[in-house]
Amino acid sequence: MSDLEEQAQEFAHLLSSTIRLVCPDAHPLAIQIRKRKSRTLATIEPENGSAYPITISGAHLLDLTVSYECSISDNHSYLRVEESGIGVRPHDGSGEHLMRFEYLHSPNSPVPSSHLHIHAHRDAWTFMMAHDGVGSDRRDVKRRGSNTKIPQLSDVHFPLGGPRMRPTLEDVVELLIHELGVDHARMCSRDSPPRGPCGVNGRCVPW
Amino acid sequence: MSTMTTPDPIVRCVEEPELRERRQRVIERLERHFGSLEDALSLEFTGAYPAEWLKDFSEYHAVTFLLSDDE
Repeated sequence: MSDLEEQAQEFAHLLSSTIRLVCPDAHPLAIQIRKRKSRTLATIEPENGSAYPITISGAHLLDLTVSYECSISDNHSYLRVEESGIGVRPHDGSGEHLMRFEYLHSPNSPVPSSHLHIHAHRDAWTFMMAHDGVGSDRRDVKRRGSNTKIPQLSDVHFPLGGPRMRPTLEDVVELLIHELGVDHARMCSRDSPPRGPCGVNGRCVPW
Repeated sequence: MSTMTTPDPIVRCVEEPELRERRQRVIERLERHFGSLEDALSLEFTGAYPAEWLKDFSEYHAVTFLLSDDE
């Protein structure tokens, strides 16, 4: 088993443990590995590319989407997350996310490495974003005034930190539990999701 | 009291020809649904499409990343 395969499996295990706190029957994560000469790439996603159902008082109201793109190379022997996306969507068929936490190790445009997209509406934001943002280095912001698309608050990348200090899946799960009160496995210490291996002595208490 | 178990992840090694074929197929699906790949990507997070199409976006991003060193 290659270093990346081993590290990716360990990471996927931790992610699955966290997801199962709020989705006890979550299907396994799938890892796809592409080996190259100097760099090996891996994706970690739900097996069938779908979302995880999240319930509140037993009603399936939300879906959790999770995806990770990782690498290991001659320059770094550890598993590095190149991009990740953690999203929460209502399950009522409207489909638009409520929020998305995204991370780009090397953004190819001037956006914060770790950022949050909030899917909501407020007229004041729409008004501000209806002008050409000529001060920005981003082409889409510079030309907003002439864009035919209505500006969305979700277009904004709210910064959350950098590669070494960014929200994790555990933070998002904690947000869902404490802010929305989603159903979850009873947790071990101070009702917080585990950091790393799940729960006391690596165990979680089921629903 | 039982212990919650975590299933083992499913691991698969993939090669360039398969990825290229999958990329072509998923782009065709997205173009069929949205008219063009560009339009599809601009609508990805609007949710203005059936939930089952979400899988196509996951597939598109995964294969694009796994092929990124070949481009």
